[in-house]
Amino acid sequence: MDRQPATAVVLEPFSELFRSIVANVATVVRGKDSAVGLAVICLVCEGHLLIEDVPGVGKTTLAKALARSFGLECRRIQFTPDLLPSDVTGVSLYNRDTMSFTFRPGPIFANVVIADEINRASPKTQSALLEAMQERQVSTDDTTRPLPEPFMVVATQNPVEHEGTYPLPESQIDRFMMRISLGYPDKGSEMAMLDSDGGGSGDPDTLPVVADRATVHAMISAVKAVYAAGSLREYIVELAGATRHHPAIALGMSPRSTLALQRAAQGLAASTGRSYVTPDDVKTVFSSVVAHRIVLQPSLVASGTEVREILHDIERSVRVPSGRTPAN
Amino acid sequence: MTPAQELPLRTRAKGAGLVRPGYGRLVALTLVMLVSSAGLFRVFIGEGWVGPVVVSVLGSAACTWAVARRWPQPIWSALAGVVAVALAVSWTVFPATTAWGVPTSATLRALRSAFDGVGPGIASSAPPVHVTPGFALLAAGGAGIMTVAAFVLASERLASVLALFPSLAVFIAAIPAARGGGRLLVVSSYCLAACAYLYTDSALSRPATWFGGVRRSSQARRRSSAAVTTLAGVIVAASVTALLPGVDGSGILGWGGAHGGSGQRIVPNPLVSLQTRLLDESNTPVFQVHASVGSYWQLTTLDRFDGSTWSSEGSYSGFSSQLPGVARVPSGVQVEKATFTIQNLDSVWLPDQFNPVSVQGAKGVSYDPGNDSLLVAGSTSNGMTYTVTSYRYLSDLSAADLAAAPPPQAPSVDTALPTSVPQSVKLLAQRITANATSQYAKALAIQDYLTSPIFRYTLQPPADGSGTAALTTFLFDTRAGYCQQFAGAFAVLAREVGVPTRLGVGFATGSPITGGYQVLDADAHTWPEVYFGPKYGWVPFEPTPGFSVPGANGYDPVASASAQPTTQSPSTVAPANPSATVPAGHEKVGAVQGPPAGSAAGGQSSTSGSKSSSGAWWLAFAALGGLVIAWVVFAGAARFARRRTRRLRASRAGPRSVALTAWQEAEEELAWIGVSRDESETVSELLAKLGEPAAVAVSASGPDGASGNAVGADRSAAGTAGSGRGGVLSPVELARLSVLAGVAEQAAFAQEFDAASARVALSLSADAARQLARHRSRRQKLLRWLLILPAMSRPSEGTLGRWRGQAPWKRQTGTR
Repeated sequence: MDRQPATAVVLEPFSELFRSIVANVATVVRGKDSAVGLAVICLVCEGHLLIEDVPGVGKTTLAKALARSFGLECRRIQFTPDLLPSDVTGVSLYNRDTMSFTFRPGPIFANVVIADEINRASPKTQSALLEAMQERQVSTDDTTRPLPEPFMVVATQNPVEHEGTYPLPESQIDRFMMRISLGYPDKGSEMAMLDSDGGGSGDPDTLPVVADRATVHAMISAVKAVYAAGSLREYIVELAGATRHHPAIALGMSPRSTLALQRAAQGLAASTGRSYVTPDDVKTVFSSVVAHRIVLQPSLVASGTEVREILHDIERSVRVPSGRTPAN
Repeated sequence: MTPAQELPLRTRAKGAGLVRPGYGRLVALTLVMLVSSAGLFRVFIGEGWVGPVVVSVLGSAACTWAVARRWPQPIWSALAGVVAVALAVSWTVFPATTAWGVPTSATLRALRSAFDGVGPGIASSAPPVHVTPGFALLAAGGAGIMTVAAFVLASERLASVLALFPSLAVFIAAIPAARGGGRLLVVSSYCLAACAYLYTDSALSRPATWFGGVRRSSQARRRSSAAVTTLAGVIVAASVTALLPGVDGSGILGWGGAHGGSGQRIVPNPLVSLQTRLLDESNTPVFQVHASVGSYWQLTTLDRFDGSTWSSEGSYSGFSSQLPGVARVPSGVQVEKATFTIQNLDSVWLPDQFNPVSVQGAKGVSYDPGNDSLLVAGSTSNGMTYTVTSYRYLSDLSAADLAAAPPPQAPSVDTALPTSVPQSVKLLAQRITANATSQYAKALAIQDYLTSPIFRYTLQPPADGSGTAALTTFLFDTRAGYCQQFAGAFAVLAREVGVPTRLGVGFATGSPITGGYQVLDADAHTWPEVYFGPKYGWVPFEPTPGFSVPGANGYDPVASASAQPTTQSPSTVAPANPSATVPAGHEKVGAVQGPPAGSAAGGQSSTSGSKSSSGAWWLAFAALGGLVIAWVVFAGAARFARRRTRRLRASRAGPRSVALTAWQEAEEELAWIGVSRDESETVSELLAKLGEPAAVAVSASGPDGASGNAVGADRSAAGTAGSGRGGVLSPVELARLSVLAGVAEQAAFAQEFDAASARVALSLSADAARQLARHRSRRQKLLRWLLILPAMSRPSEGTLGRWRGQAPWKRQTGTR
């Protein structure tokens, strides 16, 4: 397997670019660099992002700032119980002038789609997202329409509001590459937000554009070229296997999530300018990529066991891969 | 349960050099201690030691472990263990002195007096011994302290293998006993227990460090290493057992100059073997005598008393039949012949009658006229048959003769007493002999005093041995003992009033058989002899109740009173001149005569009994010390060799291997300062342990924290990164290590790797080794010397802690 020369060229500016994007977004989402970094990685890995958090911590702002930094089109869908699938995908309307049905694309036809409070919509509407997220296309009226490139769904859900929500089906939640949460800002960040006179809580729409669409494509291909050694791939598979056999877990990692884990680790490696994945990369993204896909044993859900604790346990039970030395 | 306790790894991972032992290891280690202590059954007679030892071992194990669980610093667990030992000893050995279970000043006094008796007790006795409070204290205290040491070592991250050493010490201390069988049982059960401990000690299951090829078949590997360890243990234990001297001296004889050479020959103290013979109450046939009259069958005599035991030194010369230094039998003087057939005598001396003149049929035997003893060349005389011709004169001695004998000019050694004999003994001797004028009267007075009813004969005396402590206890306190105490007391008391004495060691007459006597092990005996000048020589007395010197009716009222027909010689033919019958050989031989003509084996050898009494114990300690030194040398050599071969192989295998090996070495060095990486941790997680402020807190809590802290603080002033604020390593050192780790990761995971990077890794690794060596504490340095491979003794945090938490899913299944 030869390293593509292009990668070597791209990776150096990749990390610089990555840093400048994170810095750009961080001017509106303060003190959350790691969450912002994961969101950017998610974008360059062609993944979808689920942000689970309490209202008002800047979920939507993050998504908007992300799109704006890359100069991408951003649309927002507020999910409500009465939202219909066609409200998402778009409808064909009869055009009297042309005497034919014309398709009016829904808000999903954008690069970054913010699905706000996704768990408020009915399962029927949620499933409309499914095809779009996985196939990156929308089928209506026997016609399949491709979605723009790049395409990323940033869904938010509020964990505390259980009233009037539909839990996301497992098939759909598996399509999100990562789940992150922002959490409250620390004291300094929150004060800076108040202080900076519109600068900190500024409008993401006024952010400077750091990269263009072509750069995003270059970054996506650069991430794909990051090298994952055989022992490292084995490590990922062993982690996945450990989730499937762990006594506390009813439903472990899917093969899709194994793929996502490797991809996310590649993205993280690229973001530091490295052309190869290390076990640290995998461990860093492990919880974000896997936690939302895990279904605990029912008895443990009742006892309030934390998924993260179990994931930590799994990390500790799997041997970190090593290069082979000839001796011992 | 707090979260920290649910996830013990996190707290422990922060670099303390300590692990809390898991349950399996604890049980196994306790078992090892119990089994090694069980070997003491060969040291003691009776079961009195079992309770104290078991309580002491279990109690100290439980206390040490419980405290180590709560407070991981070894000092606290060690303290708790020692307190537990003290309590256990107080409760089991001196229960009467405690008040409501709490030791009182009476306990302390009892402890001190028991302890005072231990030293002389060890010097003057050899296993097996009766369980006196002193010995119980020694056994229970020793086993308890060793248990504490083992548990403290087991909680040392780098030293879990070393935890076997204390049990080894107990084990070796118990080995010198030569009491019949059980050796194999002791050795094999100890090895099994040690093996179980090593098996539970997860350290053996994971020898490799990061990047090093970790073997997958850890179970099989563990089994094979346990098997190898057992085998090595059996070999070592068996050879140690074979080399260590037993009380019979079979192990020690033959070392040094053999007969015919001119070297010093050290043989076990005959008093000690006498004690063993008596206490064992074994009915082993020792030898048969074909003689017309009975006698005490003398092996040797002891004329030096050093306060702990009796001993002698002598010059032995070979002979053909006539004994050197002994005048030829004048014609007309009646002689007696006795033919000895040795059956099973564990002695270097041959039995003979009093006053031998010539010996026929003994090959390779030499004679010392001073001690009146025949010495064989080898270690045993079994199967020998020889005939001893002796003057018969004892039965012709009369009280009047002895009473009239002038005070002799005896060598000072025969009246010398060590300063350790208290004044009270002298006063007692003067009181007993107040009315006696002649030497004979004095001897009789002392004999009468000792045979009076206030003294009691018992084979299980409260104070065993013949040392000063045992002597004073016997005379003033317990007044119970057997021949060793009675004879010793007689000899010392007599010397106090200027009467030259020595101890005769040998056998009583034995049981009559056709044409002679059968002598058993249990007939072993000792008696005092008094010197009456060249005319009468050494005359045996008998202060031990129930015994009498055969043929001594003429001067000894005890013998005449007992009037045993077997010991009473029917012959009444008196020699014309008693004085003439006393051979000149009874004079002390100063210079050794040359070997008589015709003696092929003309060499001389000298014996010294005193050195051997403590020799067995001394040798045991020396063997242990030698073992430790050998281990250290082996450890150093093994570490060097291992590193060398690994580097060679790595350089053959290419730059990637070189870089990985370089990191592995650095990681091993890190393990030596107490920071090690679990299998499931990455290099950066390992480095995080070094840079975290938490690591400082942990290292500062250790005994050596101050120095490490100071170095860290010193370096951080000049450092660049902020993370190393007072950490284990300075920021510069940390940065170098990080670069090294990065190169190693590149070697492991990148597509391409060049030789230049490998060279960088090597030099960085060498730097790291130098830097880390500075951070090693004294304790870590010591451990490094003592261990072969750091990896060998590194416990796996993962396996230790993974299933010990209380998280619910763990309770559900227990194992995975």
